Amino acid sequence: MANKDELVKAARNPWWQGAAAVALVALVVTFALGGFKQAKSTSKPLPQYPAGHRYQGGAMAVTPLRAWVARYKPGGQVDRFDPSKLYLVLQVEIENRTPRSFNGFGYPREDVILVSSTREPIKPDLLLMSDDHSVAADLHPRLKQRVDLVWNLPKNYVHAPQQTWGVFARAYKAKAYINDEGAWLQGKPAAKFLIPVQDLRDRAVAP
Amino acid sequence: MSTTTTTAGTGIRARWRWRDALWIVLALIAVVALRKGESSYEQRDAPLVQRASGPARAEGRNFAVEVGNVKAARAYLLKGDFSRSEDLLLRTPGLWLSVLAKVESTQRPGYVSAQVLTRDGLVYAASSAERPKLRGINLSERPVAPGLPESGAWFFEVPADRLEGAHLQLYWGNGLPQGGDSLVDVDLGIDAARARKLLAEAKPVLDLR
Amino acid sequence: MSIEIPARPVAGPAPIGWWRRNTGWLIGTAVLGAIAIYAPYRDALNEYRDRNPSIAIDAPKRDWVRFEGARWRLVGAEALAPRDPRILGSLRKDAGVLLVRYEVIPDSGTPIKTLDTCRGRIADAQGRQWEADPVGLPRLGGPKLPTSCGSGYDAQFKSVLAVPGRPFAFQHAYVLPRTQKLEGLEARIEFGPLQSAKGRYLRFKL
Repeated sequence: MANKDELVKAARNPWWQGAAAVALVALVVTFALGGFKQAKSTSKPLPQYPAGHRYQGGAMAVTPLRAWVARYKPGGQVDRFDPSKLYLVLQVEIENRTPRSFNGFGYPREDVILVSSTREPIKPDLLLMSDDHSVAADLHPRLKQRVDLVWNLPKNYVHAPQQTWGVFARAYKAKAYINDEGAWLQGKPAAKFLIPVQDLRDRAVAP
Repeated sequence: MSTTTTTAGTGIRARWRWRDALWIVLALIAVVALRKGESSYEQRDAPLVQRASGPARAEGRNFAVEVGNVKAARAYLLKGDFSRSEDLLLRTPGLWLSVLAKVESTQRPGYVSAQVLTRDGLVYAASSAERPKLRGINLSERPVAPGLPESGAWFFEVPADRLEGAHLQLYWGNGLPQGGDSLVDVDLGIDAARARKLLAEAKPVLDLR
Repeated sequence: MSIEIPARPVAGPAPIGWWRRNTGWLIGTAVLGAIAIYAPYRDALNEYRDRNPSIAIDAPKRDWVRFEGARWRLVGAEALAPRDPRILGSLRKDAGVLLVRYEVIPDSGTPIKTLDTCRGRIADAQGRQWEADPVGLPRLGGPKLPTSCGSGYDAQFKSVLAVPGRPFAFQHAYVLPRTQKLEGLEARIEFGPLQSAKGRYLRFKL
């Protein structure tokens, strides 16, 4: 800590006096121009798309096609032991934009999510290939494949005519890990889809 | 270090500054150049590519492969099994490519996996053993033991316009190619004419029941 | 005449050379450098040995040998002919079945779970290896023996456990190429990397 004599000597130094004057002017000008007000949020609102819009998220391009609620899984039947089970299904067309095949239960499960009423992301419980209803297999580069994303609904589900789904961005980072290995890392939420949900709860079996 | 005697003290200091500054700058240049020239993780972790051509036997570290014929189809018709009773039509947005092969391991038992590398650098992993589920034919996830070769085919889903210049790559293990291990690269010999022929002969539905 | 003796500059003691001055540092560098090159190699070798045991413990023929907290004995090895009635399932045409029977007496402190992690291998003179009970093994008839070193099911489909002090019989079955000759083969018992085997395995010459 400087003692009193040093402080007094500094205050008499014209250089210090000049610096103090400049600082004061800067403060006043910043205040006058509104620099001390609360900063507005710089994040833009997420773009919202309807069904059929192709969103490219880096690792994959996602085109949600349609959605429905039913008592059976796609390609299946109503469960005889628990007929009150409900499933929300979103059919998407996914194109792998990475240079290598990836697992259907990997990136698609992490990136395409259902936005709950409390704005929480919910990952799908099951992913099935749309054409033969088998468990989602590898998705190959530059091939557009239709995948059914299935969410198990709670018993107290109230049918909403529209639901919101979200897609996370996923970009390649060259040195993603400590050992400098590159990876496709999930980024921020990038797009929202508002899609009407068809009510097929009166059907007993998949068409 | 040679000492130059001079009467002016500043002379020594001036010479010291320039020479040492030069060494420091050269060292910095060397550091930056070496850092920039450092190999990336993917280059260090890359498997060792061993090129083989055509139908002759291609050998990797622990396996040997004889690649046979290549056929294309647009969909496969498979027999139903206990989980689904009716016949299954396995479609693909691209083309089903089947590569016949005979695989054996040379030292240890394990698995051999396959992938297709297209001319533009995309890698298509072989379809799993479930898709198509052809026990005794699909080579994916099939255990191989020394002295007991396995014959069958690997199945791939590729876009129809990427057949030309495709290479079949084989490696040991069940996951991704391991760094430092063999990656046997077999040129399937699909030139423009053969690609057209494959496409022309690709049946809309190939009955595999 | 005066003889001029040119003044000889009095030199101080001869300056010590650079090498002698830095002997200590050089020796230290050599020692540390050698350690820095040898230590990672030894670590990698140990890691490799954990997964691929390479230090053999030879077992005397038909006699008990101590290994990993138990005593082991090879009872017998039998190659099944292709048309042997004990082969009930389908077997590939170019392969035969080899049955290797052992007895093990666990020591009192050895947990059975540890014994159950054993792996059986057959190796030939060229170093090729086959694993026990592979996928292609057909269903076998005849007296049923446990297939794991510590527990399993016996002929009455009852679960049996190895008991310390009492011999426990088990069997490893292999699918080998039919052209493989029996001489020069050795049967191995190995343990995984979590055990204390540290790269050792038990070797029985067949």
